[in-house]
Amino acid sequence: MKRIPIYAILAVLAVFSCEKTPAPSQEPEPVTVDGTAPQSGGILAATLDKGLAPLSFTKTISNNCIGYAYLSGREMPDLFFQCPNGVPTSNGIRSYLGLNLCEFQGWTSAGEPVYGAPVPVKEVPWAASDSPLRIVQAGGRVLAFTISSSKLRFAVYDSEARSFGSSWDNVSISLSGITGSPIAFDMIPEAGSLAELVILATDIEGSYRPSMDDVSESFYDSAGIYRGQMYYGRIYRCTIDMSSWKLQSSPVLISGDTRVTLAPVGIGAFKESLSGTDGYLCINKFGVVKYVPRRSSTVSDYALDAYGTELVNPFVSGAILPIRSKSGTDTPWIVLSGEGAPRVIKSAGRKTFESVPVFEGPYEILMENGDLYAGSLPVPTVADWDGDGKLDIVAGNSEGRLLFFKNFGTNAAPAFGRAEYLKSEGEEICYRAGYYEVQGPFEAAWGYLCPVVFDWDGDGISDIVFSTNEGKFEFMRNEGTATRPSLGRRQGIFLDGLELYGMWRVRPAVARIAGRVIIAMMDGEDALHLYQQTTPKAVKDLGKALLGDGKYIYGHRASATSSLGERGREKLEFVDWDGDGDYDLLVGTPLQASFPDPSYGLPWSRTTRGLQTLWLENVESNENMVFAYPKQFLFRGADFHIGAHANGPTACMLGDTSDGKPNLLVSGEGGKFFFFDRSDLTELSLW
Amino acid sequence: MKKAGLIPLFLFLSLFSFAQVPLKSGKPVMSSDPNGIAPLGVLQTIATVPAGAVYLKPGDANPSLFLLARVGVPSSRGVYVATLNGVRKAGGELVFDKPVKIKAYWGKPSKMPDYGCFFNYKGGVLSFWAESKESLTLASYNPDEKQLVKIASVKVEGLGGVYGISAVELENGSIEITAIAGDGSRYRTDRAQNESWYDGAMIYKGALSKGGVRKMTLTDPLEGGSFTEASPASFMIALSGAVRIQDSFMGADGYLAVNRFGVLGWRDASSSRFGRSWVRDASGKSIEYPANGASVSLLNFRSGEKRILMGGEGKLVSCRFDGMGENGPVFSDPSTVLMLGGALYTGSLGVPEVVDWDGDGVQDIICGNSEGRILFFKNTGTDLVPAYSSFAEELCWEDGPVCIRPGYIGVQGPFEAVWGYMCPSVFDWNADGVPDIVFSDSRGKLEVMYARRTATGTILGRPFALRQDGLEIKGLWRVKPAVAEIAGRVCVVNMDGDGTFHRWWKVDESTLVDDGPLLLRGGTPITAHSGTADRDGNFGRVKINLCDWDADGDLDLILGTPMTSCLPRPDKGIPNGPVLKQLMMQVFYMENVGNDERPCFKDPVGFYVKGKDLLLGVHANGPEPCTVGSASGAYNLLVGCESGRLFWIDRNDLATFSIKDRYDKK
Repeated sequence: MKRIPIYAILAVLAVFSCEKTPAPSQEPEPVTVDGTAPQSGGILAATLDKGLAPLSFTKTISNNCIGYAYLSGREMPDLFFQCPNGVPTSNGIRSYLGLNLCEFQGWTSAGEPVYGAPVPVKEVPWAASDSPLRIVQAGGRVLAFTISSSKLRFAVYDSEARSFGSSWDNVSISLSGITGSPIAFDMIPEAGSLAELVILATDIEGSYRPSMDDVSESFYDSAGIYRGQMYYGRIYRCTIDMSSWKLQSSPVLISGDTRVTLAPVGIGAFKESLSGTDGYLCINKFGVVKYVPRRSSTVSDYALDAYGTELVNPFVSGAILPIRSKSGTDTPWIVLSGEGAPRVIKSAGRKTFESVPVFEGPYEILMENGDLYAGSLPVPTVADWDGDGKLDIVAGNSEGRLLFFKNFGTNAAPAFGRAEYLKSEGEEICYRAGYYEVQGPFEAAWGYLCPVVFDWDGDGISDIVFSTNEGKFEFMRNEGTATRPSLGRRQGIFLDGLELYGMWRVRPAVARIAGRVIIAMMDGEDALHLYQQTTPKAVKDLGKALLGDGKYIYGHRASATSSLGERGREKLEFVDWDGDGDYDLLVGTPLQASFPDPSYGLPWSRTTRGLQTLWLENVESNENMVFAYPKQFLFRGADFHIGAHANGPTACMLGDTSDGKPNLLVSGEGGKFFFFDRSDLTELSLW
Repeated sequence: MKKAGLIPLFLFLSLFSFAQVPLKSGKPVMSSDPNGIAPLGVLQTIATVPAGAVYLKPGDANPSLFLLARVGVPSSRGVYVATLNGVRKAGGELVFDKPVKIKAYWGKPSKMPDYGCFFNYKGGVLSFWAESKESLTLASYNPDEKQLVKIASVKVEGLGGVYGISAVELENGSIEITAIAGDGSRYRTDRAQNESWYDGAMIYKGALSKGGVRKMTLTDPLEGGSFTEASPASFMIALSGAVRIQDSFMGADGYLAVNRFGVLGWRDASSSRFGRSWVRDASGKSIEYPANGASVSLLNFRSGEKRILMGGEGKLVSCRFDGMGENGPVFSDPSTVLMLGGALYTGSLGVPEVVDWDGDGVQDIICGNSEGRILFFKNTGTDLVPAYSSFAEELCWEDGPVCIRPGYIGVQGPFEAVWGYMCPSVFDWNADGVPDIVFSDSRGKLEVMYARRTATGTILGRPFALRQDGLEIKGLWRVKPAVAEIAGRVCVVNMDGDGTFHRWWKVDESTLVDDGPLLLRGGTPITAHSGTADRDGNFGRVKINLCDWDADGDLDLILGTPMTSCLPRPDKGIPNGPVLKQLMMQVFYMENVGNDERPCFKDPVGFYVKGKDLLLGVHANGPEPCTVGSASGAYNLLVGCESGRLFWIDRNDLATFSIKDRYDKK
């Protein structure tokens, strides 16, 4: 008798089993929730989960948590944030430039702290100062300290008036003996009226930038090595009597090495009794946290996360703030902040064999009724990324990450979820230039991912074409499906075998135009340049784009007064903005841009700041693209300024699009998305 | 009688049959494959440039290939000819006899013109050489004497700055000479010493020069003539080679052109404007030469089969013509051109590591090269008498071969985009029992690729950077880092941005902590550059090894350098080629007279081999202390060099010289 092979039996069983248990549907059921029609001239709000969103500050870039106080009587203190750069309140949208207080509200079920919306502190004596600040609660008072010109000064907080007053207390303490420049400090109240002052100082005087006779020169030498100074931090400590405001001991260098960390930005005293850990945590610009024990002269060591790897805040960092528990001297929570949504880490209550503390987290600090927040300088594309028929937002940001905001509502009334961080080859995307970067190695934690969603390989599903601060143009193929996208590795796009390379931080415009896939970017002369795709990995040169009068379209102003990092930064997009059947160009620019002529152009040649978003009408055809002189958008007839560094515009079919034409979404440097109904937009021309 | 056009099949033994080939001290490691099959090349030269495949005599069954060897050890420079022996059964590769150097009319190698070509004309073999903008030298090749004889200088116009020539006898009996000419732009710019080639926006300051194809038709080879455009002058960036294709060859008239990045393009002769298409294989994938600086020649079999040959700074490859497609010719994927009696070939500037890569108990060779690839030469013999196959495997990621290159931003400019200069050290970085790759390259980064063994071989993960305080560690380019375990801790030695040998300790998989510079006795940091050199590409290039060379219980340094290095201090050192004007094997030993925790090194000494200098090239040597061929277990040396060969040296044949010895000799 012929025997039946075992694999055949297994195959039959498998089929039978499948019949009895239907396979789950491959496509998820679309879920629609009630969204909100976007308000023209407003910011897209977080609408799910009571508007739960990362704590953020509307129009400011950096948000440094520099102090805390138990003012509202809850288990966690209220937090003070210093927001030093951004756009003032304008166009009916509040800015949070300056000092703000956020009140603790509670916890999410996932253990994330939730804070209330920022409330500006009315009067601050340091408004024009870039000296380091610290706000400390001691002896029943909330005190703000600053170190300026080797002097410690303070001001007292009036919680009723929500003000520190307009001037410093006239008592000051001279801090001699510190070499270098104090960049951060912490004040730790001790028993009685004493307090320990610990100061993090850099080991250089002046700028870490190389001297530049010619601003067009590279920061690097011919061997690719940075020409400026690689600066480090060192720690000093002294004791102060806060009743007499006199020094009890002069500042002494306490760190066992004088190179505690490269690029230092923050310091805080950390104590954890369970593990017997007592020392200082330092954070540097790259987000790396290091630990220096208080009672020994040992060198610094990397603080570790729960996985035993170095603890890193995921964005360009500006401050570290250990928080003492409400009762006791331990500091179980540490706030990490800078150019991104603040986060907290929690002491794990243990240390390593080398006595290095271990932490859990970081966790995002959240707020209710917040805005969508994408990290600083986001670059959005509105597209149906997950194939559910609704328009989502896919955005890159300055961290070098790629975020996906799923739309659970409708296109007319979207409801975007919290950001999901997209991955490439299973790893969270975080593209950064590293050491070799246009503005020097201290910008290594900035990536400036500028993506566009487009079916680059022509297989019917959307891929990501992008550039970064590396200035080269690349793509990630979607190796998943339309409804389950999965990005593959980053791959270069080549011209004659050489990487397609241009200005940094440019989002390319990509579209299938007249049967050809066209990609536009800003070339090495910062001129708008067109290429045609020949294969997914190769393009051919179509030359610089032309204006109707035959001139090239440049993006920069003529006289560079600082490094050439001012060039580039344009966010390009092909769209038929005027509905005449051919592709026009939308261009988001930095403030210094001068389109199309370096000597006279938009927006730089105007005296007022406005929305740095331009429209270049295609005045010929899709086959032969020729552009009109650029026009700048006005909102309800007026300028609408949302940040100097760069605007990221994208045409979108969100909101009321009953006329069949797109509206406009523009991202600002503060990480928010501003929506504009096209009916509120007019164009301004200089020609 | 041989039937014309029939290529005798070369009958090989089983593919998996290898011979143990005794290592010869001071000589390259030879292929253990049957008949010593190895990639075709010329010992001691960097590039393998095809200059025309011809039939030396009218009755020859098989064509012969001329090769130009312009860069390398002086005694090896010249023109070589190799005759096709057959086609390898297993893979269909072309197999040539060992190349033979021909006598040329210019005499000394230093007089050899940069560009030349060979072609059949009326049954004989003629050759043109570009020696000036106004004339070409016509020469005739005598196969019996293996001699190239000058016939005349032929006046030409319109040649301009030329980057390559080829010639072919047309069907009407005339000759067409094809030349590559630049577009008149200037690739290099003037710059101050130590100034970057890139501006503050990271844009190259020079021009991305393009090239075009020019042609000249002669009815008589002795006639002069004028070159005219066969393509626009801006045909392709960095165009480096082109050849005329006749209708009889492919059924289409046109030009195949290749650039220094390896891109192969096709221009139909009837194109009136820019017309160009990429040459592809049957699946639509672009055909590319895998290394830098390609040239292209045609190979026309009497059987009717057509191939093109491409060569440059890498192995020679051939592609079979598979017909005309919609957008131009279709070729097969490149296959390596082989030779009999050859040595292992790593690709130029090999940087070897000797290690049991596949866990079979014997030591293999892992080798990085200038292409940015990593090759695995499996040892099927023993450590004492190894047998390395010349069919090296490329180490791969999940989706294809590892190939790491700088791209547009490179120390010496964007035209060096495809020089990766992979410098791997093999070390079990994650302590999982499988050795990983710790490496640097032409980008000067310090990175790691984890290795994972699978049923089909070892797969490497994507590289990740090693960092200090969150910033990736940036050093000088083309440095092989040394990695070692010392008292339970792992250290890495690399060259920092100051050009100093620097040590770090591993903290976690991507984090290192600074341990400061390595010091000489007296406390001076060790450097390798001259005090007067432009930082440019002269800095770096050093290959670092930590090993207990003198068996005294601590780790010493074995270093490979370029000729321009000045080790161990900028004011006086070796090999210091520009000052000493002495060629030597650029491999040095620095004895650790401290201990592993607190090392301290004596001044370097260099090596003589059998009492003499062994010249392996000037660009950089890659030494690897190893115990292969060692009965005692003491270290011998394996040295990778610019020609892509691996020289094995018995330590008993090594003697040392000091810095003083060399300066006394000056």
